[in-house]
Amino acid sequence: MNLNENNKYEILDNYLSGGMSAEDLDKFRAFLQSDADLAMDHQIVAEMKEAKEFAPLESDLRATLASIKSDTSATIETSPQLTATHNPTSKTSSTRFLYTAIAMAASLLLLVGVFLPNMLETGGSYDQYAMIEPLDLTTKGAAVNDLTLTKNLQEAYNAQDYNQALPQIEAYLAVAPKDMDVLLAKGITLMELNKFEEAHAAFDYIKSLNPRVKKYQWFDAQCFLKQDKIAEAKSLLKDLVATKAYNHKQAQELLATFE
Amino acid sequence: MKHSDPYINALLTNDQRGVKEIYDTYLPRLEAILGKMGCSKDEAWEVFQESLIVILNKAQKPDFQLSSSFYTFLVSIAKFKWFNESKKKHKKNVTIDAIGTLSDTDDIMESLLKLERFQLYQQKLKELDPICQKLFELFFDKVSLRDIAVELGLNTENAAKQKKYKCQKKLIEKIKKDVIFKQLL
Repeated sequence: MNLNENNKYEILDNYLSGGMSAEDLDKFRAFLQSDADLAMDHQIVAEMKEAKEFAPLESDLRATLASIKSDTSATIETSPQLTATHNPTSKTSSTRFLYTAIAMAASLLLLVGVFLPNMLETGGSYDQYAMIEPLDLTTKGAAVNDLTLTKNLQEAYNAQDYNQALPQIEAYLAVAPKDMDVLLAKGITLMELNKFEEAHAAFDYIKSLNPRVKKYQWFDAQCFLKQDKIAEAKSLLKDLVATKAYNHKQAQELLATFE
Repeated sequence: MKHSDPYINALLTNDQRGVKEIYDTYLPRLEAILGKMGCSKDEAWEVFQESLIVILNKAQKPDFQLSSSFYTFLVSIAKFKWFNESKKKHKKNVTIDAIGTLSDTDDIMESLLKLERFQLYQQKLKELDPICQKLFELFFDKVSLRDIAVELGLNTENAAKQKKYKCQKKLIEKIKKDVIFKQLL
């Protein structure tokens, strides 16, 4: 094979389209190994082809996302308008009043049907602030050699299937009792399952190990919030703010909502 | 092209209801997570969108396997994306605690870079003369060289072939000269 500047793109095309003989294939692969410039040309030509094939899929997904975003923004912008019309002192038209009444009735139904049970179950502030990050055991190198257990634990927890996650967390901690991430996951899991006493005990245990990051304290506060024990939650949150510890800004925001 | 994970499937089939569910379920969570890393809501939206494109790109490969939950996968990619973006936009490195949540972190970074290279290729294509642009458009639409020759007013199939290689050479030179390309390797 005689490869030069004049024929290299033709040869590249042959290679990418699978039209090369076995003998030429070996030679060309050897060229690719030894010639960095040719290897880069090959990468660009191959990726250009891939990019062109991917473009319609990408474009369709972008259009769908743009449409969803636009619909959502429109809904958000419309809501205050409807509410604003329901002002007893203003002169509203009957049509506007009708729309307002429909919107309010729909909101009430939504509140009773969807949000109210959640709020009763979890507490408004808890729901708003308890952002639970996914567990990451595979990247950091799990302390337990049982990969299936580690993977199942991580998947169940990250899928928020706490009933499924809890026995696996216990099994994991039986081998690695001081794994901070899993201890925290245990506390959060118990809190999510409304086993509050056990959850507080789990957070207290983390505290006894004297960890550098006070992440457990943030969730301990969330656990109190979930039970509407505002005073206990405030005390923990104030400490987070005072010591500029984990989530202290969110703690400050949350405290402000109690004023 | 059907996948067992419903969210991956929604992306692959561009199912509007499924994509809306991903949007409703995960965008607020991503905003909260990335917000702690200095990412605004608008930026989080961009990161969210680009992360889904990365997932789509990976998921369309026949050998793709989801080794974690969809959420974990999305958050990992989004963190990397934001890490890259904040370096570019704000000229600063954000600290990502336990960067990513997957074992194949190099793979995620490579996927992000590859999609950025894709964008650069598109941009460089548009800088070519109109004949080369047309030629590539026809070529990627799998139009035969004979028909390309007719379309472009060239005498023979071989003339179309030679024109294609010349255009390809110009394009590759433009790409390789671009400083951004070197950063994307």
